[in-house]
Amino acid sequence: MKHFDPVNEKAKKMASSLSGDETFDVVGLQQPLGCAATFDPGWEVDPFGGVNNLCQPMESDLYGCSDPCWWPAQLPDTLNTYPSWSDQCAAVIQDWRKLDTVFPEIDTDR
Amino acid sequence: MNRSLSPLVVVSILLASTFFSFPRVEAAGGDWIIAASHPNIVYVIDGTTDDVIRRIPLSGPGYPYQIAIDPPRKRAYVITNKWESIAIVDLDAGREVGTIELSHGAERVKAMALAVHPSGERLYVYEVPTLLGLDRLEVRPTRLEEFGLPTGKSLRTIPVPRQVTILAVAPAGEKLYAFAQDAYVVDLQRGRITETIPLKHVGITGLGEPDILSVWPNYEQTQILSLVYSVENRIKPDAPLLGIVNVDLATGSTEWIELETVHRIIFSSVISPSKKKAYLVYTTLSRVDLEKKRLERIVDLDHTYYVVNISSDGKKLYIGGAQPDIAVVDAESLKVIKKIKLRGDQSIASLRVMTIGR
Repeated sequence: MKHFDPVNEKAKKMASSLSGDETFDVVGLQQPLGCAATFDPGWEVDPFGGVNNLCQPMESDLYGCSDPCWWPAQLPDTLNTYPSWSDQCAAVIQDWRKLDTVFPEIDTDR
Repeated sequence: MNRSLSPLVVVSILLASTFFSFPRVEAAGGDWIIAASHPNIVYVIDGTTDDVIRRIPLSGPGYPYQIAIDPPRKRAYVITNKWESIAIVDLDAGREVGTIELSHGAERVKAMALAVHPSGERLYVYEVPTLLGLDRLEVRPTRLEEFGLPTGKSLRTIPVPRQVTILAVAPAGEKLYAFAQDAYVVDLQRGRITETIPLKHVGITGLGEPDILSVWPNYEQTQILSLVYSVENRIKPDAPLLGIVNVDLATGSTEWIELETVHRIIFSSVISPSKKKAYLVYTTLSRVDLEKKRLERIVDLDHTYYVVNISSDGKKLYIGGAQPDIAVVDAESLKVIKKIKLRGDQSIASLRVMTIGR
């Protein structure tokens, strides 16, 4: 890096970070950047290693998990990247077939 | 930062309400239960008949989240639009009468909690702002924003720490509580945090740090916010404990009550108007004797409910959240006496009880 000089703001921040002059606090982000920045681990088992204490039935909990980005790995981020995901399904237990799978958008022109 | 209601928004809401308004039933005094559900609807339920008397579609996309209530003016303030707007709802007229937009320009703002001042003249919103740059997202400090009512004009912002999920103004109106891992007390005259009530860092001998779920603001009957916690038991590591912590909003005092070894999940609790009982809900409904500090009855429910609230006379419980129904429960027998059907899932929306005309 000694042969390069940063010329814009982002490059200056990178150079400063690499030099060790700048340190950052690690904070729980609470959804400023999207679901992927929250830290809840998963949805498969309850705290006791079983399933009895998961929401009953699981459809009860689907929007409780997606609306606030509670389980970010399993459900679309309806606060930021997929805001229309649940628009066609007001009640999951009746209309869950209307909920579709989502995939990251890929720019195919590049 | 000068924010006020958009005339276009108001006009569009008026037109929308013409098409979607619920058949009008004259609203009597007594309890009104204020609920919300997908797709983006607020409900008023008459606490005498337990029937829906207003179904109020909100403008814009998204779904409702937290609800703050102003009983004297029969208004509700609802987080919606992907948590980037506050809908102002006239509950008596059965329509949305304004919107406070939080995101402006490149700054995206998500509201995580809100509360109305007892005077009805100010609204407080906890905000999580992010600057959306061309090549980066910049996390900005979290803050409390104060809006004047009914104008919706921004009056000031107060820095508060991250992870706040419930706001509550003390009944005398001089201070505001911001519940996060601990509870921050904001002096509203001085405009800054003057005290921190330890919750996660309470330091009870023999116990770890309590893990508290604070999502539902349901303290309106007693001005005591009851929160459920689980905690590591350092004396018996294989027997973690479940309990409730009751925060008196008038005094700021806390009462910690250990109830049982953790073997089930509880999401929310509410204190009865007599302050002698507490009720806890998830896939079971429990009653706690607050004088003896012990569980006295537990019943199974037909499905999971997130939130419990109680009528002003303490005789009926309203349990909701998750699915599209609210169960009305006899507080003595804990038997379901009625189911109120809503249009869609309530998810984690608030369930408030406001008392009119007393």
